[in-house]
Amino acid sequence: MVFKSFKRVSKSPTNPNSKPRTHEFDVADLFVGPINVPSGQTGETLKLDEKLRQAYFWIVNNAIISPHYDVEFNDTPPQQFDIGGGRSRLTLPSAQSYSSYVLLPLLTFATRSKCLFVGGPGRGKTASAILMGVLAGYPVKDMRRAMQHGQPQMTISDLLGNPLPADLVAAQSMDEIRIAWRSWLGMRVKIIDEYNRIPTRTQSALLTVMGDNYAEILNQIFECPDAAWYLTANDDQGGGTYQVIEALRDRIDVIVQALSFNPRFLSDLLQRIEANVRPEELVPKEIIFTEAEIDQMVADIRDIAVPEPVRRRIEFFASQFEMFEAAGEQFEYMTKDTARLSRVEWAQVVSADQGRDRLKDIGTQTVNGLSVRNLMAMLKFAKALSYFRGANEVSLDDVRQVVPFVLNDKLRPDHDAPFFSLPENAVFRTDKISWLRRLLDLSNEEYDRLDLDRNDPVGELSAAFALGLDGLKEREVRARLVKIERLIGQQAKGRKLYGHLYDDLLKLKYLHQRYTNYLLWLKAQ
Amino acid sequence: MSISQPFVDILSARRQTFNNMVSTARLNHTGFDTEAFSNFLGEEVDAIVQAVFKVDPGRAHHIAEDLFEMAVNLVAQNRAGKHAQDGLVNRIWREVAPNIPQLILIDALESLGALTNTATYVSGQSGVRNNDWLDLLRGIAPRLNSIEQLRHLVTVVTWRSGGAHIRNAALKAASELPSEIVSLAIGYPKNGKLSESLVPLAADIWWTPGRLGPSQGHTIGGFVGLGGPFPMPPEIKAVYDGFLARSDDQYFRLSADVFGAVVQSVQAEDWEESQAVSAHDTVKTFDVTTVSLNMPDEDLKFCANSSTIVISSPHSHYIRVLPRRSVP
Repeated sequence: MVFKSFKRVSKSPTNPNSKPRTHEFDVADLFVGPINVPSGQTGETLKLDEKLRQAYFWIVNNAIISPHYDVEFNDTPPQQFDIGGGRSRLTLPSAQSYSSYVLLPLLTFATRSKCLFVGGPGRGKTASAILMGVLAGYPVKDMRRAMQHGQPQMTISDLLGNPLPADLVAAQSMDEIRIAWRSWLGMRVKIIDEYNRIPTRTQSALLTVMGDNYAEILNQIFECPDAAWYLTANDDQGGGTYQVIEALRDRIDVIVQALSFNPRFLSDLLQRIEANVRPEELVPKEIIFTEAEIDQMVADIRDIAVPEPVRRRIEFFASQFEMFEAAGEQFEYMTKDTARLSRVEWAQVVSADQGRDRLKDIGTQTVNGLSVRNLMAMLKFAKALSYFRGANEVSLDDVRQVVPFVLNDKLRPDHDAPFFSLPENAVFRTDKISWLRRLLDLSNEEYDRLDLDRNDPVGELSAAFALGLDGLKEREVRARLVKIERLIGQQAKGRKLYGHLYDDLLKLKYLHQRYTNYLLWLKAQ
Repeated sequence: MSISQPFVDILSARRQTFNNMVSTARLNHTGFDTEAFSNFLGEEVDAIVQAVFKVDPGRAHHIAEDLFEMAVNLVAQNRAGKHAQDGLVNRIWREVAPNIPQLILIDALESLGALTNTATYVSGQSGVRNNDWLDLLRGIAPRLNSIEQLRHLVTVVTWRSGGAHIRNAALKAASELPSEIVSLAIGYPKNGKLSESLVPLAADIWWTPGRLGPSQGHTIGGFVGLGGPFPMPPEIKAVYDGFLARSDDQYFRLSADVFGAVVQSVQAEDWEESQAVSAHDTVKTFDVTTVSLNMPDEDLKFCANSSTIVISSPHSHYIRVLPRRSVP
């Protein structure tokens, strides 16, 4: 029997969103108290979002000594203090705030995504990953044994499994060779420790498992179940024994950094040593999720709504980065990807970029744009955070808090951009989390300045198109074509080409082409 | 303090496990008093282990682990032991638990754990008479033979000891218990049919057997600074299922019946959204000299619903609750 005083979970509600009405007496209340009596509960099934929050609070209160509340939420203006000559700002959040080092891995667990822990050795990266496996119901021993340790001699067989020797000798065809698959492939929480020490060839095999959810040896296929992935590395830039292949890095949805240990919490560490306690071995059963519960949670998170005003701001933000006027002659090819694929020196291409205010344009701060996978991860984690906070729809604050962790290592800064040369922005060269959050803030400021919540003619045209073309008369189609052409004329008049305008113009071109094709079809009837 | 041999053997056999529990409690509760815990083990837990050992020596070690773990939790939270916030949990472990080994052997958590939880609930309810509650349990619980019966009994004796707010749940629980147990729990009938008591009790909140005479009602409330619930003399409103009280910016529900009266906090919305009912005829005919009020006679306020009359005063933090039949 394990000792349950360590196994107490936070009482519900862990995040009371509204003032509760008077609690109607339930006879079960008589039996609820300091002793955790299984049948003393009220009989209601604990909601999964509440269970997820209880898991979070158990981890931060008992398992991981992580006093950093860096995911800040405020419902009233927070208290702020400027400290020292450098005016370093300390904010005291006014609403429930969280530690990214626990929160993001937990959201990864809830969405079955892929999370990379980065940070120096001995900061609890592996222990945190194992905890997530325990939350999925696996014994600690199984998780430890199933964890893949990256090392320079790791072969594909080490990673995936071996053909049975007897079959290798006796088989008349490849189909007859049976494979002894490694057990971790069938688990719903997968841990790859020090993934940047895996040789490149083995990384490719790992990529197939991570990306396509199957493993292949000698033409034999093992279909893996959907799983949450946790990878650890001492360096998120892909350093280590081997360079991490870019496709593998791109499969990672979020990156969290193990922040430094605050020596003020040394007594906690000391007590843990003296008590000889391993938190991962003491996870209370109340916060362990069954497979069905995780399935349900994934589905529930998918159902969280993204309201249109929030979605528009995400669109506007994402529009800022890909456009690169100097990279292409044809409109569609004016992108950073075109420049990158050309292999022309970045500085050389940038020097040809003129006509825009390079300080104001936040697109100039990056050397790349956002991929579809990045956007999907951003939406998925924003939904998950909203779910975790007990809301039904995503708020801009949710997006603001997940963006840095999703785009870390995805949106790469151009440190030669004018933005970084300003003294007040020099800190963003090293603090990528704050830089990415600042990027979103700047994008939102521009969105507000342009008053796009109320004045979005491209959005109106898109909405009209979304109603469908069926039954649309030729006159109406022509009127819409004229409207699109007029709008492009207005947009182009005297304005410089910024990322959001570029995407608006491409959308208008798309609409124009769809109406043009429809018109041709109408005429052919 | 000396510990019995069976308990010593159990502690020795799983020494590391028990030590780990204490270490973990020290980890999570910086003020954990190991001496207080040792005393609690020696005085309360040991007696229970001995009682259990006598009935089923083979399962005693298993039960002892559950008891030890509960004890660690309770002492760590200052719910038991010498630093206990109130004595009721200690008394449950000392006076009731050693007499119910048959229930603890079924499931220590579901029996003693549930009893302990109820003790913390009861001690937080100013209207529930703790001594009555404990006496009833001590007398009746040894006669039970299932956890389900224990839960029903706890509900009934909590009601009987003044928990008027759980009246409906208790009536339902009473219907699930053997009649001799219910008779003991509610105090009557001693010799008659149980249905002759439960039916009128369900129909009339102030019913008492004729031989006991009519209920004289209850005095409840009090100033918050002296342990009562009200910061100011309360204003009362009769609603269809009882009474609400407003005191300064705080709101309360009053539940009363023949066994007692309880004041519980509610939200402002409950006060604002509840429709007042009134029984003015009763109030007009009320003669204050017929009852002992313990409050100044001037400016008395009367409030009544179909079964009960409540008397309050702008000069008192107390409320007098009376059955209507006691009104001439």
